[in-house]
Amino acid sequence: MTKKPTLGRQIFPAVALTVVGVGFISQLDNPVGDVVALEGAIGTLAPSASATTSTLVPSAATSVVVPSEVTTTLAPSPLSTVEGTGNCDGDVVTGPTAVFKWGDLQLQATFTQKNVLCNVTVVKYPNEDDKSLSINQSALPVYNQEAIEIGSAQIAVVSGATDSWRAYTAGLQAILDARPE
Amino acid sequence: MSAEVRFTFAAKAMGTAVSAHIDDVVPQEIADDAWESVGVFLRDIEDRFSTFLPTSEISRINKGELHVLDASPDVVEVLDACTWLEHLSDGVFNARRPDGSIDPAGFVKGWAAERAARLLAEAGLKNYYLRIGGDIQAHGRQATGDKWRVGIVDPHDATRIHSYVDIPENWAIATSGVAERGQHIWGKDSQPTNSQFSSMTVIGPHLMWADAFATIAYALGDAGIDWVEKFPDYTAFTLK
Repeated sequence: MTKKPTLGRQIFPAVALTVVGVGFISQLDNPVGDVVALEGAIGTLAPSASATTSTLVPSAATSVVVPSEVTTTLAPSPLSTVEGTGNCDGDVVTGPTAVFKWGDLQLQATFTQKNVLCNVTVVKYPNEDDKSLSINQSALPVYNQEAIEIGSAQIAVVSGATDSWRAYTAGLQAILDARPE
Repeated sequence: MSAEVRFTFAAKAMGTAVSAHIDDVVPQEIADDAWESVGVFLRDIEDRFSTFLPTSEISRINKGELHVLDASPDVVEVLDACTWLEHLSDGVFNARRPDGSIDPAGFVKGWAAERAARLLAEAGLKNYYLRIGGDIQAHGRQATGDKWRVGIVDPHDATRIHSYVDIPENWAIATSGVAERGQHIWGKDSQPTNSQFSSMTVIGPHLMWADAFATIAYALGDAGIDWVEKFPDYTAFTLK
């Protein structure tokens, strides 16, 4: 809190839908420090049939490593080549590591040729501890699902976690903010 | 695409992440100006409430330079609310440090977020949410006509959404727990709590109460859910 908030300068309206995904990645205040060797990481970090899958969007992970320097230079791809959002075969951007209380988290986003965010993969995973979870039955409006994926459940906003700015920039809410409607 | 324009803003303020999502079809300038007003407001709140700033009203009160009753109406309102929360929670909620100085930071965030959300309404916006550090004040509905669907982050796995809630119009949601930053949840005698829960979420009309109630209920553990039920509009649930 010693630093003045810089609200005005960090605004990023999501009106420019085709580029906002890249916009949020490039505005991360901590540049990517280390590039994760994905071929090893994906194998160990992405669970298979578990209900507590850490893969947020269930499509095949694109195992392309983008060096950190590239993340800030990703201009929108030519818009005329692909119509629609079907093919998740565009740029792959690895975010910075978010430091949570119990460990580090790093996400990787994949975009379509039109720079629409289409896949998010966890490349660094904070915790392998017990994930047996239960929810109190008194919470009537709650729908407990095996694994709610952002894409399919149309989650608009998330509560909890991602409290610090650093965690936010690599966390679920930032991805939601960057996600085109 | 222009008819489907939505606005998303994000920034760092009050030491945490603030974001807003506006689902109204309005000119860009309206959304920009509304968001700017939020920024101005939050900077002002930080200037007056931060214990890290020696010139803030809170710091001046703690130094004996300013009497509480001479503080600005906002400061009096916040300290008044903190006193009531301390009373209602039998001291579980406490805006005073062990040395007797006051630090209402645990309440100010939710209070300020609710006030900031009100600024968006005053700008003529009807369908939006404002989020500060994982606590959300919503207004209206999504552009689809659906209620705002809020995912609750899995307290054991921040990459995953554990459950979600479709919250009523103009309601708020707040989550306290280990997924949050820092040790701002304190039990009686200003000792950190050792709750058996990993997170506690409260929904209700006002974010300032939902946020405070989530903090209190988390500290109370098993008794926390019953405690929140004393307030008819508010519901608490936990993720273990």
